[in-house]
Parts: sequence; C-alpha cells; structure tokens
Amino acid sequence: MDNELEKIWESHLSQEKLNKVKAQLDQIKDISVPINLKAKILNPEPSSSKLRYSLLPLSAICLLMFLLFNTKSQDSYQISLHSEISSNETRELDSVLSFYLEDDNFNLTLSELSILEEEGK
Amino acid sequence: MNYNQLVEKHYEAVFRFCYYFLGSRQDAEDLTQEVFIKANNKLSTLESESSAKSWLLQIARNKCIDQKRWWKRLFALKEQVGALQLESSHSPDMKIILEKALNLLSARQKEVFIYRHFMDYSTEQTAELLGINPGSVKSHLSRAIEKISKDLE
Repeated sequence: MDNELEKIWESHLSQEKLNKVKAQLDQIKDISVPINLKAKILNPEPSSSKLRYSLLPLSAICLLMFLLFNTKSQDSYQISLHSEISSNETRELDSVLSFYLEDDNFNLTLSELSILEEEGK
Repeated sequence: MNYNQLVEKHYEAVFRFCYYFLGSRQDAEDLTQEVFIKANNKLSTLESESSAKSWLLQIARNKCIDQKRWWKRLFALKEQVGALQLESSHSPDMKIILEKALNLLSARQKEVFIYRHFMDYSTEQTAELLGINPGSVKSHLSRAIEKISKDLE
C-alpha cells in the first residue's frame, strides 16, 4: 500500500485497524496463477462454467418433476387423467373425480369414468 | 503483436483482475479464457501494442460485469441469505467482511480499488488504463475506501 492510499485509509480507520486491513488485503492479493492456464488459453476447451450453468435449467426441470410426482396420490390421478382429455372436458370430470378420489385404490379408465358420469346424471 | 505474444505477456494480469473482481478462482480461470477468445477474434481492432493491456482489461471488465449480473439474477436469494448469515455471525472474519464490502462497491469503484491495491498501479497508470483523469480515480478510490471502512466499523 503506497503513501497516498495509506493517507486515505488513515482518515477513516485507526492505525490498529488499518494494520489488520493491510494484512487481510495482502492475503486477498496473494493469489497464484494456475500453472496450466496459459496452455488452456492457447488451446481452448469448452468453458467449464458454461457447462455448469447450462446444466442448471436441466436440474430445475428435474426438481420440478420430482416435486410434481412426489405429491399425494390424488394429484397423480388427476395429472394422468387430465393429460388424456381435452381442457374442455377437464372441468366436467373434476366434479366426478372429486368424489371418487377419496379412495386411495381408485383406478378407472376413461370409458369407466364416462359411464360413471352418465350414471351421475 | 501476435496472439501468442499477447497471451504470454498479459494472461496473468487478466486472471488476477478477474479473480479480484469475481472473488472466485474457477470463474476467473474460465473468464480469462473467454477474454482471450474474444481478444483473438477482435485482434485486428487492437490499435497498438502499448494499448494491449488496457484493451484486454477492458474486455475482462465487461465480461466480469456480465458474469456478476447473471450471477446476481440467478442467486439473488443466495446473496441475501449470505448477508443475513454474515450479520448474524458473532464475530465475522475481517477478510470475509472485506470481500463482502468489495462486492458492494460499484463496478468503477471496485475497478479502481483493484488496480490501486492489488495490481500496484499508480493513480496515473490507473487513470490511463481506464481512460479517465487522475482526479476521478482519487475520487472513486476515496468513496470506495469510505464505504469499506464503514462496513469495518
């Protein structure tokens, strides 16, 4: 740290504290350059940080899928059934399903559901 | 000056700058490589050998700022948690406080602080590298030190 810098620091910190700051700044400053860095620059490979970051969206999707399928069985039924039918039919089926989904062993095909819906009417 | 000479002469300074700016050895290493890839692609725009260092550090600066922005957006929450942990810590390490305080400086203040404290450039050399006048360097430096000192109190 040169005199100019020291003067600025001294106007804000006590000498004791400044000595500690100097020691810590020296520690931060003291970094060795990786031995193979020059070779890496001259023969570039895909950046590992880019690879790391490109994996993040994939991790997020995996986490989402885990959360989605790790919910109660009731939700799983609804997801699998709703994926097989159009959005217009979803609302109608929901009213039928809300009754039958109380049973954990509930397992019906779409044709069976349509019969149940007819009977409901 | 050809590409190999450019790398030979300046890769250490670029790496150091990236490390001080980002605080991560791995990120600094990756970014240094990216800086030189960009430099190689734009080598024809380099005006003279004497301005090579300043040109490379300018590329490094922009890359570091982009990286910080990206990182900040993605891990804003992580930073907040880190800050809370720091605040709740009974007796935080001064080095950690210094690094944290450095991260809170504006890009220009941080840049000036790095050149003057870690890369041993004088006020005049820093001014020349950044294309600003020495008075502005002093002013950015004073504000940076004032901010850091407040965090250390």
